[in-house]
Amino acid sequence: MGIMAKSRIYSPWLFHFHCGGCNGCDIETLAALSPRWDPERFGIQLVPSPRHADILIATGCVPKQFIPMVKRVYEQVPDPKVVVAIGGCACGGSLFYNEDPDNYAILGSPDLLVPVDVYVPGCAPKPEAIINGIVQGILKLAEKKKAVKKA
Amino acid sequence: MAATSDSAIMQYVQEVVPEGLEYKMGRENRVFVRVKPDDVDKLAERFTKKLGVRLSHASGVDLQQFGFDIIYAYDFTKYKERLQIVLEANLPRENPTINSVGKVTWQAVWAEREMKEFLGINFIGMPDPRHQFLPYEWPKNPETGISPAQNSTTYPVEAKPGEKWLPVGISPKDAISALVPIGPYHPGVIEGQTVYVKVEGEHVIDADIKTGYHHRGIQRLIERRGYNKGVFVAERVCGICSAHHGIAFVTAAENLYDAEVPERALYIRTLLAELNRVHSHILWIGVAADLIGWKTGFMLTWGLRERVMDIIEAITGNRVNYGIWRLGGVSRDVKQELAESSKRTLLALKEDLAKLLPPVADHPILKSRCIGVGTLDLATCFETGVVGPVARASNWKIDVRMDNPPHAIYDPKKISWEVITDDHRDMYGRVLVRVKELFVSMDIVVQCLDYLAKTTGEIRAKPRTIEPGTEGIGLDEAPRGELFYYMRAGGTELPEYMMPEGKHNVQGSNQPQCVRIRTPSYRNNAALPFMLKDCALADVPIIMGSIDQCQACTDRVEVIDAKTESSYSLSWDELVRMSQRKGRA
Amino acid sequence: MPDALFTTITAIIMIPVAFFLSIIYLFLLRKFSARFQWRVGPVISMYADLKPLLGRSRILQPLYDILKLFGKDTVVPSVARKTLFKASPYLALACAFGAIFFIPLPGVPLLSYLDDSLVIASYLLIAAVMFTILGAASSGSPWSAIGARRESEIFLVYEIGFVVALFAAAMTYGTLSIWTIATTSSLPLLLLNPFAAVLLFLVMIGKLGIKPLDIAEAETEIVGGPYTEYSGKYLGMLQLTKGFLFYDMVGLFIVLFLAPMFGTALWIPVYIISAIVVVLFLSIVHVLHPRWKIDRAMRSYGLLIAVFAILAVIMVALALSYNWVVV
Ligand code: SF4
Repeated sequence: MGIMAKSRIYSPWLFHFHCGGCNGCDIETLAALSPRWDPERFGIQLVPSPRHADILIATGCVPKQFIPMVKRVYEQVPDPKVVVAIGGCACGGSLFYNEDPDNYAILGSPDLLVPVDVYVPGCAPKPEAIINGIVQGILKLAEKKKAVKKA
Repeated sequence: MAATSDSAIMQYVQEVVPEGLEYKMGRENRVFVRVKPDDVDKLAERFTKKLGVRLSHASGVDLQQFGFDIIYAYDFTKYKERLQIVLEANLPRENPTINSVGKVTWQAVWAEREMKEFLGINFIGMPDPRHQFLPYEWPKNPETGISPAQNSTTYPVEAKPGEKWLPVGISPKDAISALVPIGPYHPGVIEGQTVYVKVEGEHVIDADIKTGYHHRGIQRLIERRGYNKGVFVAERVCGICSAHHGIAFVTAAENLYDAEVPERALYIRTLLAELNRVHSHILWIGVAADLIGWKTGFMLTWGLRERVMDIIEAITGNRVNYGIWRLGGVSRDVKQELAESSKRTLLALKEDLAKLLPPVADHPILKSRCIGVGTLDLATCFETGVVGPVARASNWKIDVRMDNPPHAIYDPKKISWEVITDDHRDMYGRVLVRVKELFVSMDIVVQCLDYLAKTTGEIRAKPRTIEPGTEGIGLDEAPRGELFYYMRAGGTELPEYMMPEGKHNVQGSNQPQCVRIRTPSYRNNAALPFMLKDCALADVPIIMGSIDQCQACTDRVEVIDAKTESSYSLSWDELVRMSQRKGRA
Repeated sequence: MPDALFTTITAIIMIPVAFFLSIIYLFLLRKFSARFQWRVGPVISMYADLKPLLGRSRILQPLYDILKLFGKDTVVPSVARKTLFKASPYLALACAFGAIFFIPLPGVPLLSYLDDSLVIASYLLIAAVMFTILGAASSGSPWSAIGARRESEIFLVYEIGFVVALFAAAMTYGTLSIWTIATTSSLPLLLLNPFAAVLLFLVMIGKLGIKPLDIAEAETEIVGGPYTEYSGKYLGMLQLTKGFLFYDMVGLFIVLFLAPMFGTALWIPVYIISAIVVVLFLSIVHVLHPRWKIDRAMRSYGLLIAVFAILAVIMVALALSYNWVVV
């Protein structure tokens, strides 16, 4: 593994990307960055702008008003990128999603709009699970670059 | 706690509302008065201006062929213990029109905007006819060219011909006055919302807020899922104050029948509600520190917060949505050893916080960032109807736990605690109020744990049948302020005037006819533009942070009756274009 | 004056050394801050079971960040003035990089023996910041624009301090050549003129965006400030610029204020310890303070700079009139 490939695994930057939901997963994501877990040990960092990110942390079911923003933020992240869906909401809409009759305000999970690579179920998942999800995301990230190179 | 059908209270209500058509005594001094639609604004004038009472919430109920019921809930605890007067007015389905209360008091403005956009009710003389939750560019009526809820486009913050939407800081010509949309995505606020601020250099001269990105249809979901499943939906209105949503929901539902909740369950509810407040306030201090750029403050407080989360997890099994609220009690007991070990953890935490927080609150740069920022005087506070720590920091002593407690133990005879106020009236006051409240909450938790360690008992009473048509109100003091749940029991028996001819069915049902939620952030956000005027751009995030806004709360939902959701994502693009630039690879 | 060949060779050797030191300084800043925040920070020795997956150590964490950025897609916003937007990271990096040749290490004068090396170095260091501002201003994003304006306001304040601090050193030793200062055998300037040392330290806080003065990059207020619109390799370049600036400033501080150490045999430990101490102090300042508001910063920081500048100049006058310096 060359140093470039290594550095991709070693320095994942997250953009915390809230698309609806109840906030529970968002505070758990932030809690995962707090001193008890401290993912900065492994170079995981939260960045303020999607342009700097490698991994998108998507939380929440997508209300219809969020649709354009979800797409746009996804587009703004430079390749290679990975989307990690955190929480029941982001995995399948959780209890906000209702089939019959339809919940008029909710589209469903973000994977209807953008490709999601890792799902972390739970309502809300514990920070350990979130970090595990991020690690899975990192592994996918490494694979993605390989695929780009081969192509 | 038991229902009191006090004739003295009824008499008092008849005195203040002589116009009433029909008086109905609810449980726990909630009085429901049916009035003529024309009287509503006169009454509002009398209540808010003469008597000085607060409008808790206004909302509408869609009764299908029976038209709409508009409810106005006023908080009369100032005059009579626990008294809530709810005015109800029925409007016909065709052309529902009513005088606006919003022109009397700002407290009703957001609620009216909401009713207007979702139910299509016309308010005469409404000061702000824009959409509340839906996009401003919501599809217009193809025939009239007017969107159903909007007949004029008055943006308080609007670009004048010479001005540009995007400030270009360097060139002096454009820098004179520019509009900056903060959001929908902005690292200062996790959740989506747009605050439009108009700046001159770094000085904010005007501001406006657009919410609604989080509109999730929650009230509708609860109505559909019934009382028992609804608790879990209610918890997920907001993940930070989920305990308070749970408690307010069960209080409202228990208000519909003669509930007898075992004492031990009440203690457990108080315990969790206060633990929730502790974690929420610590969280807020951390986020506020981060907002003024102090990562260390964030890390230290969130490090300490984990210990509270440990206690919560040990007691309920969950960290965020506890899932232990049940009608008539709670679903999990707190064992003696658990109570004792939790108490030990909590006391250690309290010591650490007592060491950490005072020097932090004294930090000179922190003070310079907080004092005099986002001021809100008492008069504005009352006019906008802010609640919770924001109101208390402006020296307004309102606390639902004291005035109108939920079904939990807040009786000063059983638990000693106090309401914290502060007269800084600014950001710094809000910091102090929250820090002090944190310690008060921890005291309450310790007392609850003491009780739970010493005694044993039932934790859940059997729920009874709920009579159709009864109404109930559940209030609770969430970490951010007063939380209001209005519930009307469903069932096929309806009051006489709305009976279809010849039918009489008294069957009850498992589902409420309507649930209305008014969250604290809903009120506080409405006051945001008042605080943002005349501040520096650097202060915008911290002022927004100072009210601890919670969009997930604010944008919970109304009933929608128009099926016009098609194609608005297109018209959205414009707003989005304003707020974010499209990148090109 | 050393001959050209020696200079060339040392200069080439210097590049990786300076690069490595920049990375280490950035790492130390992160590590110290993390420790003050009850965290571990980038781990020095990775946990045994994670080694195969996550590497042996994260001392080079900033390097990985930069390398990763170079391997990423680069997005240029369509509203930016393209040429300026793309050129400024290169120019900023070139300036910060160029300055390393004017910061001598003991026995290695590089270009610092030039008569006006102090002036050239200061120009390069000023220009590096200026190009960052320029790039941000041309990006067309409101946040970058505000960030750029804030940066340029604060820039005016600390550059005055910077010039005065260098001027104090130059006046005291009566030369504008860094190498001449470095090889002096008089008392270190840190003792002769402590105010100038404090002044340069204050300047470093501003120039490197350490906490109370990271106003320009205030992420919770204005997203990423000047860096908002940059991504991929341009962002990596700006990070690298920051690293080199860090090296330049720390190196300059040691050279100017601990000059006589260059002559002694102890220079390696002295250099290492003093560099670590400077970074430690910077990180203490970094963790202890929330961000200043821009108007407040202009006042308080400006006042601090002004007071120390005046004191430094007075000390220079005293040193000259009582002839404390033996050249
Ligand atoms: S998964 Fe659960 S905790 Fe997470 S956002 Fe959805 S409802 Fe909230």
